[in-house]
Amino acid sequence: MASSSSFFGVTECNLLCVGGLVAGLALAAVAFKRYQKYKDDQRRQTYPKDTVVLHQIGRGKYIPSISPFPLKLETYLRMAKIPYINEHAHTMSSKGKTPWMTYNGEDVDDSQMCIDFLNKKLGVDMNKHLSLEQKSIGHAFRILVEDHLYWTGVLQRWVYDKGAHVPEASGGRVTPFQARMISRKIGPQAYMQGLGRHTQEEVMCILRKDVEALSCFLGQKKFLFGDDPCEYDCSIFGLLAQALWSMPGSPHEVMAKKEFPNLKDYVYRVRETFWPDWNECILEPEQGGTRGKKEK
Amino acid sequence: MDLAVKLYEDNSCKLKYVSGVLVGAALVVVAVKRYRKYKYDQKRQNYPRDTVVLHQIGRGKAIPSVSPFPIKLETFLRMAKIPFINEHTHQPSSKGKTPWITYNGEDVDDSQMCIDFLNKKLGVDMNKHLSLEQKSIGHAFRILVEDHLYWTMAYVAYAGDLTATRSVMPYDPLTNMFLVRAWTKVIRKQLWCQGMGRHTVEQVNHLIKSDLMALSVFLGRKRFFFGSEPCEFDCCVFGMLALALWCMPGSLHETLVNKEFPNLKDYIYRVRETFWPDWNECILEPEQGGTRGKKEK
Repeated sequence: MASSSSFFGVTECNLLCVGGLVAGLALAAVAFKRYQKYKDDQRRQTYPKDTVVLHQIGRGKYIPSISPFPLKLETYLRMAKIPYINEHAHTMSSKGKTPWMTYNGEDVDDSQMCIDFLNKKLGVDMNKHLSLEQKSIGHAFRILVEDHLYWTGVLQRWVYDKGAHVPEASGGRVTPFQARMISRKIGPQAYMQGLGRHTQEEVMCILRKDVEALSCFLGQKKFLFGDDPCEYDCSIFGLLAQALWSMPGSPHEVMAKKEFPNLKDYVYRVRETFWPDWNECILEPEQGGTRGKKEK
Repeated sequence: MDLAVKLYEDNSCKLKYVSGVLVGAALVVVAVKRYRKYKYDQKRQNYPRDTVVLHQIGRGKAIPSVSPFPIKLETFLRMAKIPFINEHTHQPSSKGKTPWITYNGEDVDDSQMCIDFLNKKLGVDMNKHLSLEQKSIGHAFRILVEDHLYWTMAYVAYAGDLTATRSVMPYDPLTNMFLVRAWTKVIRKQLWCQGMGRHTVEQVNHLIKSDLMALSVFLGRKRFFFGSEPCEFDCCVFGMLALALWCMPGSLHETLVNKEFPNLKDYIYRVRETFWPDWNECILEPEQGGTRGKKEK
């Protein structure tokens, strides 16, 4: 009787089984991806016309988003009175970023690029009352907030606190395990960006200078450039709101609440103006949120 | 031959031989490191007192440095009339950054931290004529230049075709090839982590134009950033824009500064004439691949 051939003790039959299993898994993965794409395409066909579909992560416990950029973009949509709906998902854009948006079938990512796209598409200009010089200053402050102050927040939340407050701030949407995994990735990113190479003490000093500059420029004005809000207020609000409501115990919170009270007043003013339904935009107690509860 | 056969056949002897070589190599490495540290400590003892030793990479072909931060720092030292000497080296600071300084035995890195350190140590304040609001605006523009415009320049220099970048590096062709390749790998990763590296070329071009327009509009017809007197913020704006003009041939940065925003070009030349009267002596000689003494295009 002929015996089956073997290669280092593994029979042909074993190899066929393993090969079949691998091929089966690969086919299942392809089928699953195709099915997801099919469902995605079906869903996109139901998007209303002339309405922005804002793709962002879910609501937070104390704040509509624990990330500054969705908050910035949503504040802009409200300020410019552009019709929109939210799609809360962890799906990233093609650049691996969130938030992003879809408008009449066209996808755009990066919060500022979304705003520029809508300004051009819909003829919106929330900065039309500003002089050219004011626009140049506003641009500089937007960069200060989004490309510098933002990173001090990233370091505080993910490196110094190791994401410890994120599960609570997200209402449990981000698990402690996920927070730890994200925290491990963020450290090297912050090092590559540059701010992560400084000591914690140096970063706190950098933070103070940024917040001081914002507070000094705002002064006693209602909004960044006077009585009328502008596009730049959206990005500053998006970031400062994090300091107030999703970074408990952080130097950011202490500075915004106690050392620079005009910033705290400003954040509340923008919230009252553009987020009268703030309470409906945070999680309910059953979902781990504070909707309906008195603010501390 | 007998020894070779013995070594090959005798396993314990082979192991002893290999471990002996490894230990010997390790000892040599430790000895070289200690010797280098000894020489380095000797060199540091010779640093003059009350003089800043500015550690930076070497001079460039058409510009005192192919990096904006050494130019910023050196412009500040000249502006504040602080005695300094240059030590051209590729040795980075403990944070892996350059430039950095040594002052009376104390090392400080990061160009802005060096300036803050010297301001505090020597009671210098090149911004004393500015109002609080002007200082806050200046701070915002400094961040725009150093944490945004800088990354657009890194993108243009390292994210795509490296021909232009290689042409301005002040090294021999072989060193050039290795260094640029090594830096490209690191900088591309930095660009991705920072965010600029995730944009398309068209998107980055839009960002470049927005940043330079903001600078040009704010500067307007003023001599310096905040009027007829220079201030600390001029050092960092000059450092970055000088690179756009003299170190990024064929780039959008160069085109915009040269043609679309002529007030920025005039401003760069003005700062250079004011604080770098010896500019020509601070670039490489023709024999070293530089343009010293040659007429500017």
